[in-house]
Amino acid sequence: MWLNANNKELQWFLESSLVYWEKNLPRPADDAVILVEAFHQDIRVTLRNLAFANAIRKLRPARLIVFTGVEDAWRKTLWSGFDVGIVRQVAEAFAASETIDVWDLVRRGPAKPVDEVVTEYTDATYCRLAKVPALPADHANRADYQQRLGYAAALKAFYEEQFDRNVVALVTSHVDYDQWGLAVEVARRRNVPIIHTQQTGCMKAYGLFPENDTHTGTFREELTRQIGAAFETQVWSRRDELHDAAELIAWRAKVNLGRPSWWRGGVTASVDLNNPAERARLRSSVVTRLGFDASRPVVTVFNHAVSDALGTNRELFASLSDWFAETAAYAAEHTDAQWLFLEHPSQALYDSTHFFDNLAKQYKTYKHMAFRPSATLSKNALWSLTDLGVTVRGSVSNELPAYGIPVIQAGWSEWSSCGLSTVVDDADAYFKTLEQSINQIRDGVDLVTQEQVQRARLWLWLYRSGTDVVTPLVPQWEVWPADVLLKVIRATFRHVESDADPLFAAVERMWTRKEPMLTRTDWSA
Amino acid sequence: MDPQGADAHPDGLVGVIGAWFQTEYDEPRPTVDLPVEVASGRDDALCIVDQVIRGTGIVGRVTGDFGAVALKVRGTGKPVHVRVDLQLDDLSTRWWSDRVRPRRFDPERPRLVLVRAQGEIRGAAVLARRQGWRGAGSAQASVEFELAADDLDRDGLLVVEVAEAARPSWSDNRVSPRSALGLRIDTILVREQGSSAAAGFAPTGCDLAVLQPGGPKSFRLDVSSVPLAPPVARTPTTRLTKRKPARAAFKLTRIARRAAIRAAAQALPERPGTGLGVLAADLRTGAPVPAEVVGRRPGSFDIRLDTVPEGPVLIGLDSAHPGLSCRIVPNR
Repeated sequence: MWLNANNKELQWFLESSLVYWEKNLPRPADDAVILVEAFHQDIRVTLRNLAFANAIRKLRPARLIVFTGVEDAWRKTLWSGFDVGIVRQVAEAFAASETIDVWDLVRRGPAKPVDEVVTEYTDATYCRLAKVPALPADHANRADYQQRLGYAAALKAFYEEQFDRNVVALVTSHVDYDQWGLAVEVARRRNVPIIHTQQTGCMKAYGLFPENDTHTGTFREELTRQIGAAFETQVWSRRDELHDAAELIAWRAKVNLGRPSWWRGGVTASVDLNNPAERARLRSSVVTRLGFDASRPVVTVFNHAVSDALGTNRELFASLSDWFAETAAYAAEHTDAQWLFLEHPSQALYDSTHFFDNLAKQYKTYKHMAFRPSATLSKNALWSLTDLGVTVRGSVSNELPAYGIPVIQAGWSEWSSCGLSTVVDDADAYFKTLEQSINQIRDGVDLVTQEQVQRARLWLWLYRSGTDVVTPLVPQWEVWPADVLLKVIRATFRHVESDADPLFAAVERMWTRKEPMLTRTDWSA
Repeated sequence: MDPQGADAHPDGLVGVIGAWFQTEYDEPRPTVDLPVEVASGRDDALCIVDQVIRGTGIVGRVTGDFGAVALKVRGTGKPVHVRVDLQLDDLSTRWWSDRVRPRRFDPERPRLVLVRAQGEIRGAAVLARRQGWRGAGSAQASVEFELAADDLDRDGLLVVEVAEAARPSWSDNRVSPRSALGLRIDTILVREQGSSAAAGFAPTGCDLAVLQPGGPKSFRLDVSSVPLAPPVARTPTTRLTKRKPARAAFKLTRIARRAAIRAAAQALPERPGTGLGVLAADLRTGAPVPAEVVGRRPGSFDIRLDTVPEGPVLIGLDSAHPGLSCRIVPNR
């Protein structure tokens, strides 16, 4: 458990938390429940879920039911220290009425029927936990796959049963994989609002309300559309008013304040370049490291964590690895550009097959292609090189356009409907767009419009400020280690009066207006 | 919000991107007049770092296989002289060891790096620390070169890069892999041409030496003894080895090993034998450079190259002799 706190500190925290929530929450008058998951090892994730759920309970009195537990494969791949006992204690301190060890029930329960949804989530979960980019050909005959399938079926049956209650909302930190995704699937079918808390900033959350759910795509697809619409009506329409704030956040992101690339720390994350001349000068140095020519276009392709949440939003290729491999195959034949393939910094946690290294070996003799781990290039170097960025859903599709570097997206992300990047619809269009863009770069055409830059900077603002609610109940993600975090929250519980806490006001706005995002301020004011 | 300097390179591919790099909150950068000596990472003239951590009493330290810094200096329309001071210290080897994780008993090997400016190779340096009884001293090297008038153009940006060299295969296991990692860039001096002092040639502390571009075609190579280098310290990584008693034991072992190696080298120092030969290679390509030994004396060779070197040339004894140090002495 990522809660290696001093035992005394933990006890003080638990006591003060219980007193705070018992006095701040109205008693439920009916059988309503709010379902909250606590499957993640990092206590910061669970604290966000619990805080949000309690903010809803202030509006709609309900009992709190917490789902937790850990399964062997999850423990082996990710959460070696998961401690159900601590989760129970924390849940109780947030005035939960029941904490259910879901995995314990699933393991012990009888077999349940397998359907398409169960298989879909099993496939993605199997890839993630085995750290493979795609299902192995013989997966159906493997005992571990069959076990996962059985687990998923039992999980779905468990959630079906739980949603028979009078459920007010499902609060979840994740919407993918078996333990979370199946709960989300059931919630959507039962028309229960889903709150998806985020693991960054202070209190950030998205919401999918049944009234706004078209049921035509995955949870993330629905969200992408709704975020796009909200961006258009609430943010883009007030671009003049937000101009200064967006400029400041663009500067802060540039110098790595707020950790825009969470995985990149220190000086290699700060950008010093200010104009085309500086870029050109640094570029002439950096190209020699890759054996490239400064006067020819450089396309940078950003690999993803290859087994991460497969198939959860719209993607043009069958898998993330297919996209990357097919892009490399295309690049091999297109010597009119130079291609830099960058590995995802956390790939070791997602891939055990050496997918990237094998691909790099395959194209070793191609002088116009280079394969590198991303942290071996500073952001300055990367910005000086990249004439066109390519990703499926990476955050570079926000970051690069904010500074005028064009990006093609071969899939959807949270912000892909906000008009920052070029989002293509199918694989044919993808390769055509690549070719066209390379030709335009060679002809000196600026592929990024002023509007795209503005939109990208406004998204930076929206993501890191507009939808980040600052509340003492949820300290910023960087407030860590556990002792410090608990002490800060304890100070809030003990010494800060709860009236008009921004968390409660923001959740009330989102909840009553059924908005897709929790917002720091009232946009209708 | 207007794009900045979009017309700076109207003719070039890279002229388009970069116009939006600036935000309204970026501070204007001063362009510094010559002569300029930058000896701190906080100096106003130091405007861009690429895989270099800025220092306070030094320009910075290289964090990757390559490291570059850019100074914003106002060219005078005349050629300029640049001096880059590099240093290999204890922290350099610790950084290197933490990132490379060498084998436990591999001895510390010399570093060999190129110095590039404005994307072109301008020189090279070999740095080997002098090993003592209790520790090793730092190794310093300065690389000096001239830049043509048009190398410092209208943007006034001078990019100095410490980079991996194209090494010949015979230098394998004689030079540190990823040589630039952890190196200090102490000072960068830029001044108008004409005031340059002749570069000195000190013993390198290892069986390699570097001849800078345009260096003498014929020279003497003096060979003398140096103490052997013990293995590089490794930072413990496991829960058990990170503990204080384990660390203390490692430290004692290191001290004992260093003393033993030093004592052995003191008692039986390696002497330059008679069968030694010399190899040379162009560090731009790794290609061999014909080097003729035209005279031999005990501990010294007279060497002649076919032509004056255009790029930096690595000179080395024809087999590995970690107990010998080379020194180039130009013929007068």
